[in-house]
Amino acid sequence: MKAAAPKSVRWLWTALSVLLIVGLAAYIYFVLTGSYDALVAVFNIPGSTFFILVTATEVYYAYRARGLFEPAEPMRATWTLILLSACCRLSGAAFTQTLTAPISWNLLVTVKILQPERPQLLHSIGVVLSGPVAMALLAAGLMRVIVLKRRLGLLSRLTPLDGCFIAAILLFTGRQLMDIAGVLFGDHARLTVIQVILWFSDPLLALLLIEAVSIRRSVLNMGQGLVARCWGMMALGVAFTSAGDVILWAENWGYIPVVISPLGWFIWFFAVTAFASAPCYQVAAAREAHEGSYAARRARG
Amino acid sequence: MTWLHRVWVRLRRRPTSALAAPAPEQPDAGPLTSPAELERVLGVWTRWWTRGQCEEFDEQLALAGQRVEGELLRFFGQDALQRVQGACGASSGSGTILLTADRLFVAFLGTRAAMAVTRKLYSNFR
Repeated sequence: MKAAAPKSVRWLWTALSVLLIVGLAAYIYFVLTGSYDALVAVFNIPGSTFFILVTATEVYYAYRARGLFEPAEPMRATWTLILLSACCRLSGAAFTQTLTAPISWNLLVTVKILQPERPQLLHSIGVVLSGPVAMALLAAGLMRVIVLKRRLGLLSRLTPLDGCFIAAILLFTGRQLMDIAGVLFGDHARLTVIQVILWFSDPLLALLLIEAVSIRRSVLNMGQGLVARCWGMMALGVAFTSAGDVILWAENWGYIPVVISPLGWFIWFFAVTAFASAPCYQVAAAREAHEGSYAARRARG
Repeated sequence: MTWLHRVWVRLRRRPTSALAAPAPEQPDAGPLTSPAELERVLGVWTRWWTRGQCEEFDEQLALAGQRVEGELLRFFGQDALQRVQGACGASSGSGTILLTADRLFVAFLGTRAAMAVTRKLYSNFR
């Protein structure tokens, strides 16, 4: 028996599909002409709007999911952490996608508070908020879920394939740390506080991905229940974020051909949609708990 | 001789098996004002409920057990249901599956939603 996806989740993924169709058209234009104009326009206007609206949806549903639990219940703290993480991602997206972007409908530019040039500090604060800060909060929230599932005897043993995947994550993180060490000891470059904080992103992402593998193995693997799909979506969001991070790293090192690199940028839309879908499933599960009755089913025969 | 007799009487008073051991802490008889307190008391009672009592067949418990399997499937999926069934290791009539499922519902859906599921499970009983 597979429970239908809630309406909110269907809306989110339909919106993503529409954005992807528009993005694909812009990508085809880029391949044919070599001009980034259409891609930049898609990412600046519908892309930014989608990012902010979907993250705002996540904040709203995470708030509602938090309200489903009493203060003494362990999942209340978990959803508080997830809500705070979503708030950080929303404020980060607002800073990086609109308030500091040189776009015509940026309110701060319109009312002449900011110069049209991208203010670097505000942008960096946005990146820190939506990066390491949001990741640390989410990692703490997911860790609580793992502890709770372990307490209830629901935590499955990881398979050798999971072990290989975790080993690959750790290798990638090790490679990133080597790059950081190269900057620290090799180049003797002047470091900023923001830069140092951003270095925590990769280890945090590795931790998140290990948690996601564990959650996926024990919950998503369970089947198609609403609660299972809630945590499955959260794990999927982490996986997309990690994939986006790997693509960025590969792009920086020139491992991805220029023609196909714009395709990798779309992965962030998948990540934000998966994160927003998770609390939608939790709220839908609680609603389902209050709906239906065995008396009615029995009367129907 | 008197000293030996006293030792013998003391030894005989000692419980010789787990069944003879004193029952664990029992819930207070006071009013239950919050769901958390109710959950704590229920937790104490369910630990106190011995396996022998669980395995007594009860028709209504069996019906509730069948219903709870459907709810577990809806919220957690097929594998979770099988895992819970495996952990309970008994037929639906024993009621152990209800207790395990209730713990899952409380943990992952919250007390209010778990109570709503429980109300549904026990509704329309003769």
